[in-house]
Amino acid sequence: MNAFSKLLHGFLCCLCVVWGAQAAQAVDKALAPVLVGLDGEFGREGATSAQSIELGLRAAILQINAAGGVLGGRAVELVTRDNREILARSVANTAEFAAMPDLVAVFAGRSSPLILAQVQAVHAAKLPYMVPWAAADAIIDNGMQPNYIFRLSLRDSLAMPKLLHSAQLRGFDKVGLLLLNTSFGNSNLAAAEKYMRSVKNQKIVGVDWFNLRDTTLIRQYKKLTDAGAKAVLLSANYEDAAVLVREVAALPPDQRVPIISHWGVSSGTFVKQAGVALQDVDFSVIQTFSFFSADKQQLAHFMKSAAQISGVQRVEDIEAPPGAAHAYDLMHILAKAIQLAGSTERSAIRDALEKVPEHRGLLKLYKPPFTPTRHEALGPGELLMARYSREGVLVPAQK
Amino acid sequence: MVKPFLESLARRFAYAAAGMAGIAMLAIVVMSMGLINHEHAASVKSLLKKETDLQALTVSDNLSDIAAGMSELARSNLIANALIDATDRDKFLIPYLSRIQNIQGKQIDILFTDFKGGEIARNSTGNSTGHSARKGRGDFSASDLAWLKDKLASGQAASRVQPGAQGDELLGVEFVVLPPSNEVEGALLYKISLDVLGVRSGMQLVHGQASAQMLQSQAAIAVAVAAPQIYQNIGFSIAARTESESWATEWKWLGVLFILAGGMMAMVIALGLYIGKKLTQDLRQLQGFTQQVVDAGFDASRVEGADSLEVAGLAQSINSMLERLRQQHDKLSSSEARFRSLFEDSDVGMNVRNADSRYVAVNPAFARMMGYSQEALLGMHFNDITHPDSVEPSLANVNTLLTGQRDHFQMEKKFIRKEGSTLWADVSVSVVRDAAGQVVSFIGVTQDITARKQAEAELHRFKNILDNILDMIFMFEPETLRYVYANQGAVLRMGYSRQELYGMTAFDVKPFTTEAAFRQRLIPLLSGERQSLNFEGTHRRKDGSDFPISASLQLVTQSDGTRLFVNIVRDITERKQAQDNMLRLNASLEERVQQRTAQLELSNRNMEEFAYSVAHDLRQPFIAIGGFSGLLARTITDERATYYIERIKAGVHKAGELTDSLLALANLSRVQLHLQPVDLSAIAHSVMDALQKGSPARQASVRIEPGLVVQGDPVLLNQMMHKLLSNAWKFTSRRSHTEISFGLVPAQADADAVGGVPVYVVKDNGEGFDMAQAHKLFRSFQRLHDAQEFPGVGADLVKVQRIMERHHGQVWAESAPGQGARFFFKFGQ
Repeated sequence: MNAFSKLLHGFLCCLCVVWGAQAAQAVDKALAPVLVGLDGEFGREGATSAQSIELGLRAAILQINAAGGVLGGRAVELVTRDNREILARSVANTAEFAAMPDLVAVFAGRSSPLILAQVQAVHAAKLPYMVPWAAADAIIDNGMQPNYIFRLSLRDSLAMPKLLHSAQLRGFDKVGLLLLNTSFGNSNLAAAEKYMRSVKNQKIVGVDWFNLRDTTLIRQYKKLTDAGAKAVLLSANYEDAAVLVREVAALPPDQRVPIISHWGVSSGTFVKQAGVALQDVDFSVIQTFSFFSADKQQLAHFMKSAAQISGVQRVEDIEAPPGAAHAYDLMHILAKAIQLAGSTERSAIRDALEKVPEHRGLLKLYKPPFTPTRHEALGPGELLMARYSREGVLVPAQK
Repeated sequence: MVKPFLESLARRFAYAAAGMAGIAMLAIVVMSMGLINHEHAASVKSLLKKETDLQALTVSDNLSDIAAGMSELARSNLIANALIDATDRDKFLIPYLSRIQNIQGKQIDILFTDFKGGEIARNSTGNSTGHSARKGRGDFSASDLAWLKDKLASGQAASRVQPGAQGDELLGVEFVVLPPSNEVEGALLYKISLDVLGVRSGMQLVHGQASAQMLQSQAAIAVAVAAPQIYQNIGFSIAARTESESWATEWKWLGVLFILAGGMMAMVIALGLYIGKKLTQDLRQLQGFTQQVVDAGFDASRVEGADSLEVAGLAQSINSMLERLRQQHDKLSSSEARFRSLFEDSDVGMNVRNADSRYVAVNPAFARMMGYSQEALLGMHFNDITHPDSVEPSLANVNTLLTGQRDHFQMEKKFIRKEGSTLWADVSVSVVRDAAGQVVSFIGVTQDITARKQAEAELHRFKNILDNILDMIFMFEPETLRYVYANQGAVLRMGYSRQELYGMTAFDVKPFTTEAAFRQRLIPLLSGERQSLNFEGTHRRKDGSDFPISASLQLVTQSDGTRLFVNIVRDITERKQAQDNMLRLNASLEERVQQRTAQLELSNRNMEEFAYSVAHDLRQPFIAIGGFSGLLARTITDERATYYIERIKAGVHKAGELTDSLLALANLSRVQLHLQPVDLSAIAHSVMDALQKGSPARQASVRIEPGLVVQGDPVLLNQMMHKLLSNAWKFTSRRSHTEISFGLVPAQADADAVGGVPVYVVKDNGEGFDMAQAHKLFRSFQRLHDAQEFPGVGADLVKVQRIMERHHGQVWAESAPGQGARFFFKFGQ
């Protein structure tokens, strides 16, 4: 270990001591902590969504604990498990979380298929399930009563109309859909078809699919543009989207049409993988939120906490920003629900989540965040389109 | 003496051979038995080894197919999707897996699990896993699953062989990973019966410890199976099922047999020696006699007496042979005499030379050819009479005989006769060798071909001349039209090489002639209708330039009956240029004639101008003289003076008429024509009416053809008709009955009219005229009749002619004195 490393190590130790002393003031360490689980795709190579969600959760927990914790001084503690975006691992993680006595809720990752496959299991375990990213409609519209799943995120049936509307505003009356061949893609197709029944001057000229691990998407893209698509609506994860962007950039300029993307691309190292090709392709992506247009006071509060627990110093440093923002607001809402429930009993907390009167978060003033008939915290009003700046940071776009 | 039954040598040989053959057969049978047994064992082992190798390859291929198939399945998108997405598994994944019932025809059970070994799907409808007892296809036992979990925990893909309900089965696991991560996220557990790996009866698939033992054993035939990585831990090998047969006991018996055979062989040898001596006694006597014949030559002595029937027969045969030999010797002697006569009497030169190429025999014909005596030639070297030009090739050829490269050669060579002249000869030389291959002599046959050579030289000379003629000479075949000969002239003028020309046809050099047209042109020659064709045309050189030619083409029948076109072609560029110059000269002459004509016309016009001026200027003095003569006559009373004055007045009047006529004539040339349709018939009627009114007393019949309309100047044509009809009226005044007609000459009657130009005629029955005077008719102021008889100055017909000339027409007349006259006229085109 060299001298600089020693110095840095010493500095970090001091920082931990100071922070620990502050925390000790806020919560009573003698009391058992209230556990919150995070089943994220940490080990999925290139994905940054789980890390982003974790950042949001930890920033919120830092603030909650600093403010005295919950249930009379009990600290909130985050337990993370890696599912690598593999269903069997996620199922195993959920079972493990369900078996933890003081665990009150589980936060899910970005993958809709993983959550959809576990709706039964979650309800059997009566485990409040918080969704800060995955967007499939059926996650919330699951037919369960009472419903243990709550979402503060985008909803596919809102996303596709927003994407189609954005295309229409930009004059693209003929569009093609390029979808991942999973329930993620199916959910988006259903949303798009439903929306198109109410639209007159726009037409879907083609729908094409690709599979996980496909190494090229250009054939499907060309098929859609050959069918007359003036824009291609993409529902993909970041790695597939990066492949497509690189392939489209290699086409002659007159053969490229704009790509209007679902937000799956913002869940990983899309910018890094797409590289300079991204500058040659008209690429816009749906978002629920932008740190660049956030409420100044709320943003400063968040950034301060984020800086304490991570290397994030500027807004630009936050990778996969929606995850952090959603998880941050959702954790605060959960904390309020725990307080309202007055215990760690999961069904009580579930009921309390429907009764939290209001919360002023990063995204907006939730008033109320959830109701017995509405488990979606966000609506169409929050949706916006964004583009990647030259630095690779998502910034709000006009249309 | 031998016993009677051994009297025959054949019997002795038969018994001896039978004994020896029996012994030999015994030995051969024994040895063959040993050899066959040995070879049989080696072949069986080799075959088994090959079959085992083949079997090992087959199993290796099958294992590779299974491993590759499972590996591909593990990498399929549907498997990857299923690890992430449980939705619609029933619709896609289960049917997909269910369709995979076998890999490369090998029935296989597959279980797809997650990373912990929990079932996701399977390819059969078997019961769920976890049962200890096996229920049938598609079931994986608890032990299978425990093994899978163990492998999942270790992270190593693996395989094993385990006993199954229907024999041994292969259990394997293929892990599913999702790149770019290398973590195991699922597994494909599969099971396949070893029976399906294609092991034939007589072979067995062994593995593990048994396999290792087999491979190490010397006695067993076993081959290791080259299995894919995943199955290498099992250690498959193929072993042949061999039947152990011991040959040791048989070899013992063979040893005994060999000893027996050895003893018998020794006996046979001893017996053979004794028998041989007895058997060959007669033969040795016979040999003594034959040696005597060889040494002394055959004479009348013959073999006598023999012990055995065969040798007695042989002796008899030798005696007959000696007799035959003597007869053949006699025949050979006469044959040699005949050949010698052939040699001596032949017209063909023959000689025999020794190995040094010196003549040892020559026949008279050869001596005659060379001009030497036979004796003089003997001992000479062939080079002594060979022409210096032929020495080297002759020696080279002889050398090929000496070195044994060949036994015969033929060549044409030159000799020098004794008197110094050259002889061309066709020489054939054969070599005679002894038994050791050494050259003994050369036999030469020589034929005089001097006359043929001279003919060839002549032919060559003519061909050379033909070749060098500057005109082009081509020969080509009638069928293909392909050139078979072209002389140097053709080569030079056409610019093609001879080889290029021989690849072309006769119409290839004619740029404006097609093959069909050219063949058409040849028909008269081919049919014999014509002997030759002369024509002019164009040839195209290789460089693309054309030049005019004249050609003379003939079809020549050759001595062998085949026919050939011979075309002698001359370049007529210079002649054509001369013709062109001539044409240009003619054109220039024509131009000069036209210029001269124009000058003449100008001169005529000037003269007419002059005549007009003279006539015009003379009129006034004549009018003055006439007027003043009248005034003078009134003042003079003298009779004589009055007479003179009357003469002056008459002269002046005449001069005035002439001047007027001259002026009118000149005017005709000056007046401008106004062409329009003119009805000549109407004019004729009007003129005749006026004339008849002027002399009502005259008996006249007038015929005018109606509707004769022409294109012309109405004033001039009016004058012309007036003068022609007045002329007719005037010259018929003495007839009691005047007949005048005007009309068209019938077309058939007049040669001019046949050409389509109408000819008009005015006929009368008047005085007529002598045709000898006709040339004066149309001259100015010429009269055929006395003015006293018929008044006038003789200018009317001149005017008629002038008017027709102005219309580019003609007028002419036919008549005879007292026969009336016919005045014809026609208009120019």
